[in-house]
Amino acid sequence: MFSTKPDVTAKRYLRQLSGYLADLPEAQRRVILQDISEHSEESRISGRTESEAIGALGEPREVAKASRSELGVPEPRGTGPWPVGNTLIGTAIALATFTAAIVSFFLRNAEGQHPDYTSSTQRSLTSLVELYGPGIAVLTLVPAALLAVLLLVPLRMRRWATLICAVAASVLVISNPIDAGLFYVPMTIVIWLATMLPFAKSLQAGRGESLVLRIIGVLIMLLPVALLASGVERGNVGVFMIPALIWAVACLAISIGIMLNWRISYWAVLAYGVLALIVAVFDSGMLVAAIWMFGGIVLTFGIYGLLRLRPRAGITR
Amino acid sequence: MNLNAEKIATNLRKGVLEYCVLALLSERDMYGLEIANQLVELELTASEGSLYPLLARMKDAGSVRTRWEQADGSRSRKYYAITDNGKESLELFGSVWGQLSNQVDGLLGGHHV
Repeated sequence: MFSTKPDVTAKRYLRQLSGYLADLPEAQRRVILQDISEHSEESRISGRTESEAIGALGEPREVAKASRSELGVPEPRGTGPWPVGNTLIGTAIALATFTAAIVSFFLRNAEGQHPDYTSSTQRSLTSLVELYGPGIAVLTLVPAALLAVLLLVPLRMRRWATLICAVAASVLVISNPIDAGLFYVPMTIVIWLATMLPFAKSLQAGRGESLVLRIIGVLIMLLPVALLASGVERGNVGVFMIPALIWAVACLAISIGIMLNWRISYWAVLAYGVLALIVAVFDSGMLVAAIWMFGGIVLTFGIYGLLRLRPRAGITR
Repeated sequence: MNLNAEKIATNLRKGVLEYCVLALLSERDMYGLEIANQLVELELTASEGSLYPLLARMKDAGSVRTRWEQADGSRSRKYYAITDNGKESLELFGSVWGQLSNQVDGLLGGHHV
């Protein structure tokens, strides 16, 4: 007898359609996808071949267009047919470029550093560009260039191409060339997200996922504050009290926003992440790698929140 | 049918498809594939997939309602039924259509004769 499991073609069709419908309110999107999935199953059982059934449905793009016009959702502007994926890849490209800059120009090479040197003498250390010449700058930009190529890959091959990029980026991190592997971690996390989020069955996180991730988000927000607070107790921090207090209050406010799943709090997280990355670049002291990683993780969480915890379409639900 | 004729037909069908669905459902309740098959047979639609957003809107507007019915085995089917609201708008469409087609026929007839 006929299998009731959807065939690969039907699955791929639904995945593509799901991508095209990304900006629709979640509830309506789910109903349309479910109806069409059942339709293709019914047609298969009625004796049509898989490709006949899928062909009769019409192009996913057309079905998406019809859905938008029926439901009064405006055509997406500028985001292309793959808004979630493009946003993530775009972010990864930005991070890759930023990483290339910090690795080539700002990161000081510690090799040959005299053990007696204090942090003030780090200024005299050479950057990678000074050490290896401008070629290294071009080399560090390779990940960014490869990611840009990803945007040109046809939609149906995008998932595999993204997966290959994610694996390559992970290898880059693990192989740790010129001691810069760690700096590519934020970019790598974002690429991994790009292999998953645009292809998820539901664009919005389920209740369990949402709760767990929001708790993690709050921890990310509050951990540095807690570390600082313990420092205050021991009297290590004095001069920075007022800015630190403002910062702590801001982190607390963002955490409350995250728990309430406010969209604006994810924008705040995103801005906070970018700020941390900038601080890491221009104030590259001993903690450069830590601040960079922290900024990358915060930024990724902000993007995750905007795309999955509180997607734009979710508001109209 | 040539490309221009196809374009004209597509545009015209777009406005009446909703009422064709209501007319089908006024005979009996149907599930999605049945409606799609009928519409395709009558050459009223080319894209079966686009039927579902239409049905979703009609449900939101209250002209159809849905219910789940057990099909063979463990599967169930979503059946669509016309509501009183839908019957009303079908009736209204009928009179508008009659009037419009008379006018258009008259106009076209006038041109041709």
